[in-house]
Amino acid sequence: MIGVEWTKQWKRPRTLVTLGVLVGFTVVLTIALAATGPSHTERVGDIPLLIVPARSGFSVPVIALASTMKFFLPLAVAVLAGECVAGEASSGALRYALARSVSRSRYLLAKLVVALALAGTAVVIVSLSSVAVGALAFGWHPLTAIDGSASSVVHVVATRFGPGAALARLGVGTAYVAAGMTSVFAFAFLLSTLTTRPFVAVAGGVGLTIVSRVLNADYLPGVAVLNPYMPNNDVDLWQHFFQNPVQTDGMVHFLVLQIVYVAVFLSAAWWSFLRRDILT
Amino acid sequence: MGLEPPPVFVRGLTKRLRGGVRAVESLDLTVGHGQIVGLAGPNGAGKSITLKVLLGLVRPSGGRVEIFGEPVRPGAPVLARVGALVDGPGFAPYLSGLDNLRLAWRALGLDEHDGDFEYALGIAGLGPAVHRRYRTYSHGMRYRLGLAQALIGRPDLLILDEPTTGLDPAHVLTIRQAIDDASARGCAVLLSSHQLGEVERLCTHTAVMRRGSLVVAGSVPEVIGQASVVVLDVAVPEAGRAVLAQVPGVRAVTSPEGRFGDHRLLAVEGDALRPVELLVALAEAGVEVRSFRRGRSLEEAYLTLVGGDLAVEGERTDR
Repeated sequence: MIGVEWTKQWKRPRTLVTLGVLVGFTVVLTIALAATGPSHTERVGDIPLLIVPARSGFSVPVIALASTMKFFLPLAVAVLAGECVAGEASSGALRYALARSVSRSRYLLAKLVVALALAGTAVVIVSLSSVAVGALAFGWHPLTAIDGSASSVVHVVATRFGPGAALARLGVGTAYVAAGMTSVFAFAFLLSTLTTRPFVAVAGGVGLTIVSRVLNADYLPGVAVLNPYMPNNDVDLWQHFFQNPVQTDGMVHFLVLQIVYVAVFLSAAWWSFLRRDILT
Repeated sequence: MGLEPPPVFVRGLTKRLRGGVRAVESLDLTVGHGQIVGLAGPNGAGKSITLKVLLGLVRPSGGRVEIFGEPVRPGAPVLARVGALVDGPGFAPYLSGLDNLRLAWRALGLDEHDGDFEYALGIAGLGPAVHRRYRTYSHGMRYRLGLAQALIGRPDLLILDEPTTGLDPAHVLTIRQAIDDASARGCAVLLSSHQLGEVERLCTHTAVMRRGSLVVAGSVPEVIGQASVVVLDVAVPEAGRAVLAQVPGVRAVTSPEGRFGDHRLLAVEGDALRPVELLVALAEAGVEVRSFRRGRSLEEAYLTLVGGDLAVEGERTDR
């Protein structure tokens, strides 16, 4: 069943367009960075990290990951998760998938596994394609990152990462971002089991990201008490993997929070789907 | 070898939808081996919900629902013996008809290289269009593909919801032929249809539903012949109705006016009716009779049974 679902999803134009747009973004980003000139310094994230793109191809994945994680990646993940069940319901294929001797749990598990793999691919593809495009544009050179949070007139921390170290840290950072997308994924997946309109599920997943961002203490100090429980606020902590030493504060809390959200959303998805009447 | 339980056995089926709407109420229905049963009834009578309960898509609120003696629940193993086409076909619009059929085949763990796959492709009868995307198909092509999917694995029970609605005569013939073929090899068929002429022509048995409940069930001749009826084609129906109502033994004069077929038809029900007496009465009153026949069609029987209440049935709630 997973094989059938895998084939179906890979042939779905929306899947290919979603992944294609992410790859296209890294290409456009690289062209834009190349146009800024050899000495341009880029500020990345909230730390901030200061890097000179033209000095190393590894600057591209760092900038790409930072610029997609707040909207493009949640949108892509919401599309891939939100489409999977609701898309079948809207075409009428869901009733034929379920009017067979296949348990609903097994069906939903196949949907989950494939959608999760595709969502993971979406995150990884941003890093991989930008490493490739970045190396082509700026070379396979060590990456130097300046810790903006430590910089002052007398104190600047600059760390140089060789290609191997940069790749390793990028890999861990990508995994962290992927883990940070799981709450959005699970919420869109839940909505996908509840509606026959894929758009509703996708919008819900993106909406969760927006609400999480809006209810941020930086913008609304009055809701600071909610900040530690928002599902997306700390996804940008991955940039700390390019500090030396790595500041891991908040990462474990964020990952545990993802696990809790995922458990709640997926449990709700299972509970409702197993009891749902398929009327359309 | 003992007798296998009937393909469909339903007793006391009740389904309440959200808000307390009673979609099906204490329904008893049996489909025997080799039978083609036509489920008839007005829109909202509960036919589609009943079929979905049989497929494990909708959970019953009460009652006993069995297929080949096994209780139906979502994903029940016995559903492997059932092929279905309900609420129209449903395929991935971005895949070709062939890919859709292949994936449906693989999802059931079947080998597409066996003869049945070719048989299903033959039912679809799409020719070179089988390689085109499903979204480019006409209504009829989609239905044929849907029927091909329903016939995957040569099921022992076919459940079809309005299988010929909106199809042109050529497609209707294809689908009728496929149903006949399935029946000929021992497959039981339960289909719902608004086209009562088709039920009469295709089905061995019929069950008429109204407001979620069963009105009557039996073989088609039994249902048609439950009352003694003479059907007359008269030139002036209003005058004819008045005359016929005065004839001794006549219980009711009904007209399928504006619903099915001819506006001038009058169906006369009564005990031991003698057509000659009716014809004489009409002739004496100067009402021209163009034709008459004993008995009635299923359409006419249906009209009598559901009391002419053919509008979409309103919601029935417990509140």
